[in-house]
Amino acid sequence: MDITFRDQQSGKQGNITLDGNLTVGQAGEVRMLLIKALIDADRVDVVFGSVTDMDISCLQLLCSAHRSASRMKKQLSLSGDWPELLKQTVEEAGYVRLAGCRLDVNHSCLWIKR
Amino acid sequence: MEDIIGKLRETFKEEAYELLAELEAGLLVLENNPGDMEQVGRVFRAMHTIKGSGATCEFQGISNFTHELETAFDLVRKGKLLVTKELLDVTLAARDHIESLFDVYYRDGMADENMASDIIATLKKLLPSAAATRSLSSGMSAKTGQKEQKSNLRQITYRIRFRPSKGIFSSGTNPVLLLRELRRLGTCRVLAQTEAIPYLEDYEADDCYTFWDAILTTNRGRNAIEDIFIFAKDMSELAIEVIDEEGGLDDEASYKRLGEILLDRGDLTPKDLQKALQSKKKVGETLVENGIVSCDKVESALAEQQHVREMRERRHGAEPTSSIRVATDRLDTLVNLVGELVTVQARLSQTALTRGIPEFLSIAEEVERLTVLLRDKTMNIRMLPIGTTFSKFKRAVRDLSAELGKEIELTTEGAETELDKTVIERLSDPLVHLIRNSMDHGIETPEVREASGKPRRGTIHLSAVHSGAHVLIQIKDDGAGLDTQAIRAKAVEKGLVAPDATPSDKELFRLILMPDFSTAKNVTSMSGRGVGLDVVKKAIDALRGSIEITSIRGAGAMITLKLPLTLAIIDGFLTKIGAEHFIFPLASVEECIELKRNSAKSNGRHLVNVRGHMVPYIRLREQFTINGATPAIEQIVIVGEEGHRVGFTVDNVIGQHQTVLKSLGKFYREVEGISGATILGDGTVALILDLPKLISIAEQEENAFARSGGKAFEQATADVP
Repeated sequence: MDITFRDQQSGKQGNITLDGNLTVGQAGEVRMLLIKALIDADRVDVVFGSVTDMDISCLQLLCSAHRSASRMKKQLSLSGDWPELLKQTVEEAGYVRLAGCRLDVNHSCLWIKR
Repeated sequence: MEDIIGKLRETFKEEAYELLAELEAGLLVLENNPGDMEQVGRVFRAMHTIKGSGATCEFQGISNFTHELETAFDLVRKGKLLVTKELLDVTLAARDHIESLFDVYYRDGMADENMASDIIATLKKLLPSAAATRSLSSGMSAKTGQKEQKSNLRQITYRIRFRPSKGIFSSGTNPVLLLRELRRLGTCRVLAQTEAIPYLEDYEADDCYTFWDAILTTNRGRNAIEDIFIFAKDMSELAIEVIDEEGGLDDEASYKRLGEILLDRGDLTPKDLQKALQSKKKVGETLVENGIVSCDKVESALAEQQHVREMRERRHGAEPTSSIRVATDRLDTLVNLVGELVTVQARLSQTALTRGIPEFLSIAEEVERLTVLLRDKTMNIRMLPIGTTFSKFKRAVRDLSAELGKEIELTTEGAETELDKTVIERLSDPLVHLIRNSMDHGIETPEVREASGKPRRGTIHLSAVHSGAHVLIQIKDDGAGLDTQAIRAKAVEKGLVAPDATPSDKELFRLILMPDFSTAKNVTSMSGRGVGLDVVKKAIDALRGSIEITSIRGAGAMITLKLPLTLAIIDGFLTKIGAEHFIFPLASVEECIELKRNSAKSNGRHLVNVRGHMVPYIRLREQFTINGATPAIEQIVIVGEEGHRVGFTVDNVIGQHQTVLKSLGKFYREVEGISGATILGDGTVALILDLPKLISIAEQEENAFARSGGKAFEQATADVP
């Protein structure tokens, strides 16, 4: 897992790469990465590398980060192709949505099927 | 009460025999492919319905007996019993016994009372011992079994809310795995409720902030659901409610409104709902916008609404409401009435034409259009797939090949081909005759076949295909073929053919359709008595059909039956000779040409040159000895029959005519060349021409002429494409 920043004309862009185990055991580490990225950047892209395991805690954290970003008037999105494991977890955990929640002011909910 | 049972039994009659046919068909497929679980299911379902409906109609003996069979096939379904020849033999025998039990009530038949116990004893021997003692007993267990089956098959929809405690992760429980298990119970929708997920600064890494709503439709009970969550029981709340049930009182295709669902779930108070209903916006939007209900909860309620609606629609669709059973005599009455309507409509059209009032003409045209539509729709109602007859033959071939010591397989094609119900009913016996004939005389014994380089197992291929307004049914075997020498010798012996004559194969094959004509040296239980093929011919003639036989010695024979699609109303081609009207079946008519008096004869023969081809024609005026002067220009109606083009001269052609077929009275039944009559718009009678017969009469006359030196007709009919 790592985090990189670069300056763009529109503001600072942060890229977080998540890989390996993304379960409750790693939730604390992921949370810290997300907080750091949202403090330092105006726009955060989360990219998935080689994910070996994932559980509901990862989805909760991303949801929490997205809500936080909205409140901070920043953007957080999931970039690139989703790994199969992410697709499967989102589907099985019933996270797929037709519309975003009340906090999704930018209409950029992570779980709407596009 | 007795009256109700009587009505129930009458309603069940057709279905009972259909189920037996279905059962038989499934068993015969299983014989060739014992591992086909789809067929095992088919057999089981047929037995289950016979048992259930039998019990409803108070055929208790049939129900109990069928239960024993069902028990055996339940073991097959569960993989505890193999499909063997012995099992199929005893099940087929049991099926026949059930039929005889139905026959006792429906057809005044007889049933062997000891047969049931013999069959059950045989069946018992084939079962694993525990199952045999447990299941094959009396009606009491049958009833219990039925009740269990019913409750197992009933679909129930549950609303489930699973709310784990925050600390569930620390116990090592993964909620996603529990939801995966839940999905396996049936059709399931899961929606995560995420409203409690906090912002990152308040987020505790080990906490679970999500809870779940699930809608599950399953035939499993509440316990099965509770079992999944049993290890999470102490760390979660689980609410399970039945929201829809098969056979429940509230079984409308629609379902509750969104507000009602949210109220049911406790996610909304009646007061808030009232407020939301006052808004002009949709209830869901108002509730979310005002922060009364979370978006997730609305989405979950909508998912429930959609799920239950879909389940109810599927259930309603699965119920046999899309078709109803109607007694055949009611259909016949309907067809007769449509026939009358067609006749009256023709009269209306003619009157309108005579009066020449535009408004009247327009109404008459509209009535004609609607009548044609009504006619076609009514005729379609009577159409049935011929496959229902095919399955009967498979069983006959199976049983008779064993009796003959031959190995014969019946293959079929075109079972979905539709024919008028009456035609199918009257076709069954002729087809049995032809198949039996092929089995007895056509297919050789396995030893003879092997010696001549053929596979031991002979094949009879039964096929049906549409061809214009006809259906062609072919019975083709890979047996020895017809022995033309033997047929010729028999024909000479019977004085049907002169000793020095050289009839064609086609002519010889036609002789075997004559009464009392058999070349078989041995008479078997099936054929060889010279009775059969003439009966087949009579039956096919009565259906206004024709028979064609082809054969190659050593390779096999093929009999083709050409049958009209319907016997009630046809499209005809109306013509006139003198004052008489004649109708050609329109499907046979290819073209019409003029015949001038000076070109009417060619070397004394009736031949006309059509675009370079000589076409023979038959003078109907002469054929039916109609008096009066022939017009200077006659019309030749050229028809295509049995691969030949033949013309028929008439005075005038009038045009297409919807023809309601009426049979001729018994005095006229023997008139050759006429197959029936119809009533025209002005009330006069038009005769319907039997074209194959007319051609056959002309050929016979021609052959007589040829034997006396000429052979123009035969050449012409053979050469013209």
